[in-house]
Amino acid sequence: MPVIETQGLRKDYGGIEALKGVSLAVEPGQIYGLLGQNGAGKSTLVKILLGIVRKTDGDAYLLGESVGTADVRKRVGFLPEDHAFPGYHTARTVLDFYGRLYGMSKDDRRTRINEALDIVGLKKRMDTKIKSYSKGMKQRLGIAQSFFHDPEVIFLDEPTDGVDPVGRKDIRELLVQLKGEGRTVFVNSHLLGEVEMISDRVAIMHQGEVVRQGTVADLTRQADKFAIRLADGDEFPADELRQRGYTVTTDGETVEVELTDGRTIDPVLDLLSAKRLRLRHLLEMKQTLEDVFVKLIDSTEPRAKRAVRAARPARARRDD
Amino acid sequence: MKFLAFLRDSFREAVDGFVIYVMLGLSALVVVLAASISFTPLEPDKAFAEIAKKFPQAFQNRGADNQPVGVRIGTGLTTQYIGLPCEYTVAEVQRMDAGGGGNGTYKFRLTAKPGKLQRPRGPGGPMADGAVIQSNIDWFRMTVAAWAQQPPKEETGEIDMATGELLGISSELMGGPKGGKSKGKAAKKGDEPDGDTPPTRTLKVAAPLVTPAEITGVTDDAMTDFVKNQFALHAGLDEVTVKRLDGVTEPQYLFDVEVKGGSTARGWPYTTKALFGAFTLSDGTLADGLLLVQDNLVNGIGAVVTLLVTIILTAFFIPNLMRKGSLDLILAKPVGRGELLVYKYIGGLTFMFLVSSLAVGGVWLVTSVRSGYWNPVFLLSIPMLTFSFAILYAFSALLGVLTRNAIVAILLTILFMFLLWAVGTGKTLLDVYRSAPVREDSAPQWLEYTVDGANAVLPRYKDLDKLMSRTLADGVSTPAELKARDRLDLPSWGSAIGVSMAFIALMLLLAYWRFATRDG
Repeated sequence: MPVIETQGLRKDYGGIEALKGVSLAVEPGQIYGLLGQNGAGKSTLVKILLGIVRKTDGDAYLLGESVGTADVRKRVGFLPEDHAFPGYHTARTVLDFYGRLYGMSKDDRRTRINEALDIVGLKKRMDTKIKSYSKGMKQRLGIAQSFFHDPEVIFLDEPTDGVDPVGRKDIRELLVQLKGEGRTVFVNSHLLGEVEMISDRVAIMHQGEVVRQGTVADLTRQADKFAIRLADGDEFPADELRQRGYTVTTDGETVEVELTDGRTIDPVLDLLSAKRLRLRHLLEMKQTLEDVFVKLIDSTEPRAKRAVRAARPARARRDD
Repeated sequence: MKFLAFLRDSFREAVDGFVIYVMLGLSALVVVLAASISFTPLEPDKAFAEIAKKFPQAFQNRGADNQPVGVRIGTGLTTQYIGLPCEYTVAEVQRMDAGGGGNGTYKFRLTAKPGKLQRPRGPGGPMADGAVIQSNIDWFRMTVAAWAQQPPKEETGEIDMATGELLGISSELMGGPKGGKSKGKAAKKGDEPDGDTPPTRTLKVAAPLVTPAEITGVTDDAMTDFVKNQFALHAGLDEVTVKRLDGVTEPQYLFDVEVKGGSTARGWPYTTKALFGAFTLSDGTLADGLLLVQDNLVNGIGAVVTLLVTIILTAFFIPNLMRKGSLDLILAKPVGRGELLVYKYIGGLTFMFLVSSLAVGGVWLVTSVRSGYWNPVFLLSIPMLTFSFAILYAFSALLGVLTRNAIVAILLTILFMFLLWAVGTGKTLLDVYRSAPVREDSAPQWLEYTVDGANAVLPRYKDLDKLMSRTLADGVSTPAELKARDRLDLPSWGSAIGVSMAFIALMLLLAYWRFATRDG
């Protein structure tokens, strides 16, 4: 049973459609990456799931219940983008405050706060006022508050925003650890490389719609395209393969062979063997998530048009 | 648990800045100032003399009414009350019991004789002699006769404020039928000035209507009852024995008086000094001194300053909560929006409660120790101050939700506070005017509608203040002092609190509605 499920979810901001019928399902124990440009509707979707923003139409369920109830929110964690903690708190007192709201016992709060702040590397500064924290420290505190109360689902909106490369790696490892504990992690990000590294499934949103979703492997696989390189001095039989119906392109010493019409790579390898050509490199080619994303966006909207769209009213982009 | 969490959070927010420390410092200063005030009872001989000096102020209907016996000049807003000119002196004060302390049995002689006229104030100050009221009258008999009338009788006429001449007054008080020499001489209101004669102004006058028969018919019993009543009203001394003595000729009167009581009586004169005796604040009763501290210093100036500072401190609570970035964090927690708003609101009120408890409790403690008068009524100021703040903070909370801007909330809330004060004051003045026995003009209808309408729907900030003042006075003042306060009907606690609570509920409902229907 999906822990997160939406069907035909729509959101209008005064006539501007931020979500245009979004349907998706997230199974438990996954890291789910939601990708999209600024203004695509990612944050609006998450906020609807948490009851912060009201939906215009459609259905949304979280942990099997309708979204927006206090009971459901007790079982989820959330790191908003551009969050602002009250500066008069320290890391310890703000988590203690939130812990009380979650109904955690005093012992639980003490134990879990120490653990969480230790995990995100803030334990030494836990009694310092938040107003003195750097952006990276605030981000780490934000992540700590999203999981310290033992939630089943964690929503993270741009979790590595403002964090240095080492810190990013730590966060990625933490998310994998949280997944290992059986939690579902829903990550909103426009940093495609990071999402690609840790996500089990990915959805790409564009202009309020989910335009593609699947596993990372599904999205990045390039169907039947191989890169081949031969030993120095051997000449690749490109023309012969073209005559046999393969599409062959050369990029320096590497030759890319695209299989079409149900062909396999085996006849190509047989030919190289028959000609006693020495194979040094054979790789089934993949594309990065970024390639997939850019191609997808380009196919739905030319770059010039995107530039114009970026200038649309701020209110429509506010939550994204 | 959630409520306590928000309470602690609000407290952290409030104490994060320096303003709270300024406020606590001010509270401590007020307490120290109150502690520096001393209350010293006068010696019995001086005290009884001071009490007797108040006797020209008598009250109609044998002391049962709130209206004084005497002449009232002018309309409600500018009414001058002039007591009948009788002078009371005390001599030969002796303590009859062997006990020590302030209370005991005292015996003395009380003399009543015609005194100096208190002259009404005209446009240029007190009027000249030779006008208004005749001086060859037995004022004591006149006073007792007017005091004893049940029901009291009055008549109205006019007085020329330039010359003091009267029109249309037939009472003996004015020297005979229909105002004696004054009739026909005074200028009528609205008369055109005649040559170089400056324009004159007349005001309405109300005076006791006492007949010669009533004056001569005053018995010794009525006189002694009057004296007893005056001790009860002006000093709170109820165990008084009075006997008329011979030895003086009318219009002088001599009484032998025995009184049980002393410095614990409400009207006993005290000297109140501030800054450890550096200067005298009051030479009146203990009530005068205590009310100066409790009503004027704490509930007056102190309350306004505390309200203003607390408005500023707490106005940030809700806009800060609703800042982009903060709101998403908190709304993702298992707390409803209504709960959030109410918790923040109660957090502000609790803050006010604590601050006012510190100031009021401290002042109560030190004034009680210094005066020896332990009256817990003053502690009611704590909930009253908190309730007054609840009215203003509900308005501030609505503005915080609507604008998300603390500065706007502060400025408009202070303006609103001023508006409530202005409407309350306007209503009081209007009521004073309406209650006047005689009126010069009628107030414009639109003004009455506006003030009455605004007062009906707006919270009763001023009424609460009046009620609190009256409650404080009730604990310490003499019956005469209370009568002077009560010439106007007091608003009821029910309407003052009911309308205010309805307003608070409306503000919070509107705030909740706006908060609940907006995204994020």
